[in-house]
Order: sequence, then structure tokens, then C-alpha cells
Amino acid sequence: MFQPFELFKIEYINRLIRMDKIYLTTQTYNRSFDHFEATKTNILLTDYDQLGAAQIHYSAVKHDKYASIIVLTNPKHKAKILEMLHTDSEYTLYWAMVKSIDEVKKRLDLKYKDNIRRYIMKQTTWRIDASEAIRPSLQVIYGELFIILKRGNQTLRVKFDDIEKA
Amino acid sequence: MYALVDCNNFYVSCERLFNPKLEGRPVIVLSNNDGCAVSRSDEAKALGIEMATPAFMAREIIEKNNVAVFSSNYTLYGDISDRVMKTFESFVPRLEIYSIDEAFLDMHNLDYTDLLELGLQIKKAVKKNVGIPVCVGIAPTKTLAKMANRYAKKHRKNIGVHWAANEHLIKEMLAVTEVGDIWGIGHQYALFLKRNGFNTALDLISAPEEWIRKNMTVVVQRLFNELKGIPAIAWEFKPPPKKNICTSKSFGKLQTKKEDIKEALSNYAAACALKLRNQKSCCRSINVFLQTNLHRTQDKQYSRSITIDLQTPTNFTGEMITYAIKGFDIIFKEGYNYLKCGVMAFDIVPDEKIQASLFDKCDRKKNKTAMEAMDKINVCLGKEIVRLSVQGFEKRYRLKTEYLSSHFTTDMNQVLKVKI
Repeated sequence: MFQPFELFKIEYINRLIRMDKIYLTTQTYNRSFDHFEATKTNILLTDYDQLGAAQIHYSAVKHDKYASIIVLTNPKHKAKILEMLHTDSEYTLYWAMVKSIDEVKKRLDLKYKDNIRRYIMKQTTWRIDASEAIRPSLQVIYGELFIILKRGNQTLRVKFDDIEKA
Repeated sequence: MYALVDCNNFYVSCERLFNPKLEGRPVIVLSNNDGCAVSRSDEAKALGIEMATPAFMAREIIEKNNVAVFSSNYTLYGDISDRVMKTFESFVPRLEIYSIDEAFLDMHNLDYTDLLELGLQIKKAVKKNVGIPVCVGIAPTKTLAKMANRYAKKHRKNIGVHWAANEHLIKEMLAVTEVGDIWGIGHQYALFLKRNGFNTALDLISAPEEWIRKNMTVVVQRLFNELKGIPAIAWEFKPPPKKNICTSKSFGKLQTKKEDIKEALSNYAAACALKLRNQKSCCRSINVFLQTNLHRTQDKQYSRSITIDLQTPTNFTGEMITYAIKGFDIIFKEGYNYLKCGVMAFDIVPDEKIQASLFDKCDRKKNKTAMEAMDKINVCLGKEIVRLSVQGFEKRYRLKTEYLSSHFTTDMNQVLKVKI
């Protein structure tokens, strides 16, 4: 499974507070299943500087068991995050942030070129020549990964899960 | 993704921009001739002043609550609107200006961009650069973007932005939107839908397609697809040329003299001609109309109109005025208190495709050059700097504007002075 996000580390907490990004929306993250740590639950964190924005994200994932809003300036919330970051905790935290977009693009091209082509052939009416290059781009929408495919004036937004299954 | 950005209480916000004392105070802006309330601040809304309430009916509330009242100052609003649109342009590759205070922004090609963050940035930039508060609604179709904007105003007041990006958020939005509040559903359709058990937009999208096809028009079918997230309304980056053009205003005071009304009519005909030239078209016929005030039962009533076919399609000011006055001379009757007159241009054709007449005595090439020169001068030096003498200067019929604010941004003599 394609996993583009960074692991969340303790040192990020104070940096986020300094940047005023004190609201973190949490949700289950299934893209990083580790067979050696199958008992751990993966959680994705998305940072916001405004509570309103965090609330929209929360509304988008509120059916998720692990959906919540963490306020880093709230001592109880901060203690909970620290507890979750502890090596013995039952959680692994990821941050909805990529280190390098170029690297992600490269990984996409290398690993998923064929899947994308297969998806287009099966699920769309686009007929692409072997020589025609497809330039997909990645989009994260409220913690969920999407692939944006463009051809001429047409644009397709596809869940990354569907590309992986293709 | 489509975004609809809409200025909050736009006319009131423009007035507040140059008069910060109005912050927190109830404010209303009246329509032409100081008729009805067309823009209300949140404080005025809370006092119960409804949209389009006639000013005389709200007088008691206005006086009792110290409501600030303004006449419409379209010169100011137009200029501020330009600045707002220019700020939008700096964020997206393309936009469609939908009205003086709202625009659809094309967000399709913004890869690797967090659209919620972008919406917040747009809101912040417009407030900082122009001083106008806006709300942003982002969604997969135009109709949903319009709904998201409304949702942001009502349910996301703290940030004024809503991005309906996934199914949950779209459903949440549809569930709280009544059918009558859907963009494109009029009063009669709303009643019909409610009678058939569709109370919210969510109810409507669960309707069988067959039922929609059978009972509604193509426009509603298109809207139905839009609500389901399938874009069905095309972009209109350039407004399409108008098929009819009408220029008409009520007089500030009732008019009885033929010469004064003729002056008004000449100005309206000149405005029609300018609108035609701006969209590079000509009209084949014009309609001139004249009427008294129907609500003044103590007055004798009179209302007439006349349509005149032009010998050759035209957009020349002089020619339009000549035809308009010809019609006016036929329909005008002495002894009435006139409230309104106007000119409508019909059968509009592109100015390159006009059918010439063998008996046409007008030197069209020369007239075209003269009109181009006149328009250029008027653009550079000010509206109607060059005009025909019949258009006059006094404008005794001009709109009632008792509460007009200054042209703060467009007139050097009215620019605010700051003492340091």
C-alpha cells in the first residue's frame, strides 16, 4: 500500500504550537498496516490553525471511530497525544504531511503507472495510446488519498484505493 | 472543484469600509429612488428588516433603533467589486463573474493544493486588500458550491468557508437545505416539490430519475445531476451577448413637462446604444414606453409603448435617440404625472452582420469613427463627458438619492483626507 505520510514525532508538538497550528483532527489510517505490529492502530493527524477548519474535517470523518479534535494547548489533550506517542502505546501516529512532493511523484510513476492505465481502460471511456503519457497528481482530501487524472479538458478524481485494486 | 465566493451584505460592507463608525450599528442600503432595503447588515436583519421592505414601511424601526440608511451608490460598489474580483483572479487561473458581489472560481487545475486552506487564504486576502468580508463555498459542481457558500454563511460562521469534499459533507449540507433554497428552484417549483414530499435537497436527490424527467423541466433535470455531484452547468468565463437590452428608471419626482421627459428618454436611448456598442452588436427595432404611477389612485392613469423598426440596424447614439424621440412624440400626452419611461432594444445582431439598406442616407463609416472616438474619450475622462446636446445637463428627473455617500474611490474631489 502506498503510504506517503510522515510519522508524527514528539518534537513536532512544540513546533506546531509555535506555528499556531494547535488543532489536530484525528482519524483511522489504513495505509500503513505493519504485519509485525498488527495489534497497533494507525492514526492520521491533520493540523489546522483554525478550529472552524478542524471542525469541517471532523464533520467529514465523524463516522470514524477515532475521529476527534485535539487542541494542543489543552493540557489533557497534549498528555493524551504524548501517551499515544509512547513506544508502548497501542497507536502509531502519522501526520498528513509529505517531505517531498517530487519523491511522491516519482514513487507514483514507478509503482502505479500500470495500475492507473488499467483503471483508465476498465473504468473510463478514455482510450490512451501506449505512447501517451499520463501525468497523475495526488490529492489529500480530509485525510483520504485521491488521484487526479487529466486528459485534455477532462478531469477524473479517483480514490487511491480503487487505483490500487485495479 | 468549483468555488463560489460571495461578499457578505456587499453594499453595506462598502459603506462601512469608508465609515468604520458603522461597525456594530444596524445599516441598510436602499434601492433606486430610495425605494426598498436591498442590503442589510446582520444587526438590521436582527431588527426584523426584511429584504425588499419599502423604506417608508420600515421608518418606525429605523428611527427607533438609529438605523443608518444609505442610497445606492453604484459607482462606489462597482469600483469595489472590481477590486474584489482582481483579488480573486490572483488565486485561480480562471473565474466567472456571476454578479456584482459573487464569482465562481475554477479550482480544477490546482494540484497539490489544499482547497480548504486556499478558501481561507482568499477570504483573508480580500479582507486585507479590499476590506470586504466574504464567504467561500467549495464543491464538485456549481449548484453545490452555491449551497456550500450558503452553508458557510449559516453553519460555519467562525471561518466563513466550507469545502464539501466528500459524501458525508455533501449529505450533511443537502439535509439542512430546503428545496426552496436550492439555487435555480423558484417559488412555484418549491411548492410543487413540497406537495410531493420533497422537503430538503437530500429528499430531492433520492427522487427516481424517471419522476424528475416526467414532472420537471430540463433545467431541473440538470440541477438534479448537479446536486448528485455531476457537473451539468457549463462555465461562462465571458458573459454571452444580451439578446435584448432595456434602459429604464423611475423619475426621482413625477414629471409633467415633455422636454424633461424627452431629455430622460434621450439619455436612456444613449445608454442602450453604448451597451450595444460594448457587446459589438446593433438592434433592428426599439421599443419606447411611458407610464404614470399606478399606485397614485388620485392621478389620471396613462401607459403606452411603441415599437419602431429601424431602417438599418444601428448602435449609433444619435440615430437611436432620433428613433426614440420619434416614438415618444407619438405616445406622449400632456396632462399626466409621469413616473417612468424607458427604451428597449430588440432583434440584436452582430455589428458585422447588418443588412444594409439601399435607401440609407447615413454615412455609417463616419458615424462609427465618431462613436469610437466618443467612447474612448468617455472612458478616459469620465462618463458622458462627450454627449449629444439633447441629453442635457440638468437631469431634473434624476433618481432620488437623499442618503448618498461619497464616491470615495472614483472622484478626486471626494477622496477621503486624513489629518496627520
